[in-house]
Amino acid sequence: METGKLEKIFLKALPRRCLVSDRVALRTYECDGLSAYRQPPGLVVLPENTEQVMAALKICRENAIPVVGRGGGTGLSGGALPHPDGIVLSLSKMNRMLEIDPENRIARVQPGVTNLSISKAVEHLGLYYAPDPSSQIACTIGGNIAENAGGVHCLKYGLTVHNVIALKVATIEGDLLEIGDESMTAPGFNLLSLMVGSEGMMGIVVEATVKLLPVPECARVVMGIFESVQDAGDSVAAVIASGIIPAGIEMMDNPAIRAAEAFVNAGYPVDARAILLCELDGIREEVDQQIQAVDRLFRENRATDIRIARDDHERQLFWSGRKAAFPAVGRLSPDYYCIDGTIPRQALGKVLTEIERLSDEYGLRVANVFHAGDGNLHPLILYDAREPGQLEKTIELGSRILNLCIGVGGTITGEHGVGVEKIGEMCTQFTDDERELFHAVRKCLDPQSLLNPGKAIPTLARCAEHGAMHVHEGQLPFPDIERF
Amino acid sequence: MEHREFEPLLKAVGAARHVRAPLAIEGGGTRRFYGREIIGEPLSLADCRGVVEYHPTELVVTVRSGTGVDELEQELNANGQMLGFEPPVCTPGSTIGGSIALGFSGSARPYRGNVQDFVLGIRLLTGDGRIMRFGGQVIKNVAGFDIARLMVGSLGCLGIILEVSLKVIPRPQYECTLCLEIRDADQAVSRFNELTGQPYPVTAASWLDGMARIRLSGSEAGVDAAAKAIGGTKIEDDPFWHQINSQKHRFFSDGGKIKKVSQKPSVPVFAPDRPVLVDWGGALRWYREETGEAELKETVAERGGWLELFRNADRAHEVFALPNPAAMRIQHRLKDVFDPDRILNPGRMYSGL
Repeated sequence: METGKLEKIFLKALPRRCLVSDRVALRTYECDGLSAYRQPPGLVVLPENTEQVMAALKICRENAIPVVGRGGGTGLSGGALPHPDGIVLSLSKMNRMLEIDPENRIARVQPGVTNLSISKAVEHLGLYYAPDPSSQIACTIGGNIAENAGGVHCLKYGLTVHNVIALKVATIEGDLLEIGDESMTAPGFNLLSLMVGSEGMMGIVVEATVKLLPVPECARVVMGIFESVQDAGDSVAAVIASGIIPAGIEMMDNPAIRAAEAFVNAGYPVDARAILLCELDGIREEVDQQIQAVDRLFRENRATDIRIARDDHERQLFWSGRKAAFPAVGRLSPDYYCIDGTIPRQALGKVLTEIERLSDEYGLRVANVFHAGDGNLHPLILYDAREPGQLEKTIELGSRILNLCIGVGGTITGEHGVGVEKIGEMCTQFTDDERELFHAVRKCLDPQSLLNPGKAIPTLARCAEHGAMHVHEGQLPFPDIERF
Repeated sequence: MEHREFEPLLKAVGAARHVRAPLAIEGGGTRRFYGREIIGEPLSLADCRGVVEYHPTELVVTVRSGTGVDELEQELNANGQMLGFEPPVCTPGSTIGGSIALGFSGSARPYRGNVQDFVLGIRLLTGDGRIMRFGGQVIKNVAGFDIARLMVGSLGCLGIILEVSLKVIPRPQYECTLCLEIRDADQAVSRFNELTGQPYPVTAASWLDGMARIRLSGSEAGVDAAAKAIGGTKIEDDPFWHQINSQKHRFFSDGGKIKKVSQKPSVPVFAPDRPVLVDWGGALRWYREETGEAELKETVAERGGWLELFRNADRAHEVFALPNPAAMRIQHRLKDVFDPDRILNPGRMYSGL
């Protein structure tokens, strides 16, 4: 439906200040954090409260208008890419903290509240909200729920799904569903887990209750320097085998180290093949003990040097390079493309060797940062979109890396979601039966498939096309390995 | 065919489907008391057993559903690891598949998480005879909808769990329990709340008969430091936790009706002068015969929370609280997707589902 028509319909139920129809202004919403895909929406609706969300959904239901929910627009898989005939439902105006309950250590918030602002609002109570995606300054809790966002502390503190305890969800059918409960139990099937990570295809979250955790008494970081990626990987395995769960354990390979060091001067050794940053938190006595253990385990696994941050200032400095890794890599090249596969950690050596080979084959540089504790690998492919054909080549390389992840028993997305980006790879990771079931489950909440249509779960026809392409290229790696 | 070993189960489901005969899915059959009455021909998963894959340094184990919980725990223990949700109400023969389908979480629930927090992937046989896999064997995975966690607590009404991948955790180096005499249940719970708001390594907090117990787990140095700050009498290897986890504690043993009430921890404990066992740092309250269904229903209606008739209830009627009508409609639609002929554990959760 064209913008003028949409505007006319929505003006019947919503004030003009809640609508964006200007052609230039609509451009603001044409993409999310994955800017390679762009499409201006027909109309943007900015509801200010739950009633307006429900009113907007009612119009969409009655007129069969596609709805794309949007939080901060920082997503990296094109999950919030608009539908040309539909609306973007931006929840950014619903950004109030509704209730902070220190006694039960929960906060009830509106979906447009940013991730970081929850922690800021409860800082004075010694509490915080654990999941910390790198976009936490801008990304919203509603978007985090849609994508089941992660961060660097997932191994110890979990993803969004582990930290959200209740939701109020407006459905396209006009209901306001209360899912989960503050009492830690809820009757019936576990709809809460189903809703988290459903990429805006099952309902619009209008309220979320999240868990708050006490800020650890102490946090310290160790940097291990290695001559091979394998040694670094072995060190991570040794730490975990010893019974220590680090708050975060991050690996960077040489290209990533060099880029970060040139950008922020974190004191990284630019000749190292890999570094590990291992953060331990908890009670001071425990952290001190664990720091010593990690130091020993890194050395036993051939670390060439180890640096323990002496104070909080140095801890921040060590982290600054890792935190700036993406923009740092961005300085090396006009564009970069971030991949989000997860692999069993034991396959790391094999996967990185194969990525190196593919990088040579495609003539595109790749830098790797790795959430080493939970196996979530972020290869960053460097390319130049101005050169004809490079973007296509980059996307193809990305797809090969994802298929590699599936081949070693991993998954195509650890924390960014499928969106439009990885929809082709969904055909490889899941069977026809499984994808068909996903569609059927989605229809339990959205019978007309109006919520974020075309995202996350490919149709059978699309996979038939995708499959043909892959057979043609003959590049499906490890076809004989089970992919559970 | 990668699912060949499940052929007998597939056949059994096909046959039942053909004549629309209900199946009563059973692991070890040790928890038949739970839920509404069981109807249908038993379908045993006893032969669907064994650890499929276990790499301790990945913190992930993949196991067939008919594997005994004790057997799995032994294997994990040999590698210094454990199941974070401490599967409760298990007796010899209780299976891991049953534990996932029931969705019971142990005393560490508020601190380490509930069952679904540890489920990473599942292999499922649906009521229409399809075998599918969801999730995976890695800790971070957001591809596809979370069907694996949807199965937790579904009482076998959506599908037959064939295999499950679980995140495991390291067994703590050291553990102790602090016993504090606190006469009043509400005072105990507010002490729990106060402690949980601080960075202490609390992994369980319970109250019974004027005694609060707080379990601390971690490195010895860390636990000792916290124990000093909290106070109370320190005991190592307190059998209490195992007794309440297995429900072998005398509180549960008189054969009467056992009711489970879950409420926000800060909600005052109802009828604290009658037998009540408080767990989950205050969020879970167990009641016995002495406290009636009607009055418990009234208190949850008034103060929030949920009532479940856990043992020895009238199982011809509902034993679980009902979701609101909109949510119930979705439950029915899900049932139709996973089990269109309604042959899997029909009515075990709710009448007509």
